[in-house]
Formats: sequence, structure tokens, C-alpha cells
Amino acid sequence: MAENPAQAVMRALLLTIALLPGVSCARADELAWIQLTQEQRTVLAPFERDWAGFPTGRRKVLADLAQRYPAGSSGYERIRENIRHWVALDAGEREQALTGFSKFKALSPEEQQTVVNLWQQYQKLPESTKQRLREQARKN
Amino acid sequence: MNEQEFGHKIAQHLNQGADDLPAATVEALAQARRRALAQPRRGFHLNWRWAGPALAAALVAAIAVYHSGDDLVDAEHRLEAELLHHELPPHAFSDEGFDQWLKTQPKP
Repeated sequence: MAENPAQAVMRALLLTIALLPGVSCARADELAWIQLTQEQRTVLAPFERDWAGFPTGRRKVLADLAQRYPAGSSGYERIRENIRHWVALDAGEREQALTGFSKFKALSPEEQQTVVNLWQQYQKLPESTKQRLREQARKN
Repeated sequence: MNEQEFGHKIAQHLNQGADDLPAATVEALAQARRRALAQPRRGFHLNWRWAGPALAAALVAAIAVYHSGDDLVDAEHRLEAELLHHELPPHAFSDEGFDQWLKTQPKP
């Protein structure tokens, strides 16, 4: 029996809905660790263990980031160091860091520079003072 | 009298009642039956004229809902990437001690 146009649309709709999860799975296989260049893998090395579980969007953003910092470029060492620190944080600390970074971005460039300078000074404080400050922060 | 016999008696009674109906009533019932049979079958009835646009809208809505979280998630990934190449290390933004210390510093 000939299918009328509405039935064809219905068939297309059902087919699309049925295929959506499949399309999503196919996307998740994009940018597998093995597909990255050697340079990207070097920059992103601390992420290797968890890479397979990253959504495509995150893989893409991180792969692009690594692409921008080839070995020898300015910022190469900094980004590798930052990634090492980032991976060492637990989920709660990362969440806190992202929130803190969002607030930092909302500051004026002058205020941001002040925070950067103060971080250098804070680094020079004795560990016992930093610990006391952390305890104070938790009490508040 | 068992159940089957009882049912048979009722059917006989109803048939007899039907035979006794006035001719006008019989004809009216017959007409009603013919009209009912001429109607398309009841049940799920789709107005095909609107089915195409309605289904297209449903498809767009389904895809929109399916991808609605993507932008938000992508923004978070971009923020993560931005943080990773910032001049301050990530733990500068999660260190509660530093945050506490900043509060004690005089405003520039």
C-alpha cells in the first residue's frame, strides 16, 4: 500500500528518535586518546587515564587547547603544570576552583592583576600560616 | 435451570420483543445502524492535514530538548580550558586560605 506523506513524516520521526542515542554514542567515540597527536598527548598526559570517560565536548576543548601549546611554545610548561595541579584536585576542589575563577573573571583587569600579585605574596607565607587561614575560612 | 438455559430464555424474550416493535421504530433502528456502519472507525483519528507540521514541530522540539544541555556543558568545558592556561594555577582558585587572606588585604 502506498504511504501517504504524513505517514512518511511519522516514519522519519520515529526513525530519528530511535537513532538519536546511537548518534550520541558515535559522537562519544570521536577524539579517542589514540587519535590525538603525540604533542597533544604529551600536554594532556595527566588526563589519559580518564580520557575515555570524557564527553566529546570536553575532549574537543582540551584537544584544541593542547594544539595551541606545542612543545617549546611560551606557556607550554605552564599549561602542563596547571593540568598536573588540576588532576590532583578532587571533584569538590575543582568545582570550587571553577566558581572562584568565574568570580575572578568578573573583576576588572586591575583587580585581577592585584590578585595575581597577592598570590605570589601568599606563596611566600609559611605553611602554618596558610593552614591557619584555611581553618579560619572553614569556621566562617 | 442452568446458566446456558437462562441465557437462551432471555435471548428468546428479546427476539420476541424485537419482533413486536412498530415498523417505524424498526426502520429508524435500521437507518441508525446503516449510518453508524458508514462512519469511519472511531478510535485514534489523526487529521493528516496537520500531521506533517505537527510532527515536524515535535521533531524540532525533541532535538532541542536533547541538545539543550550542550551549550551549558560546553561553556563549563571552555571555562576549564581557560583556567588551565591561566597564569594563576587552578589551586589558587580553590585555596580557601588564599581566599581568606585576600579578605584581610587592604583594597588597592
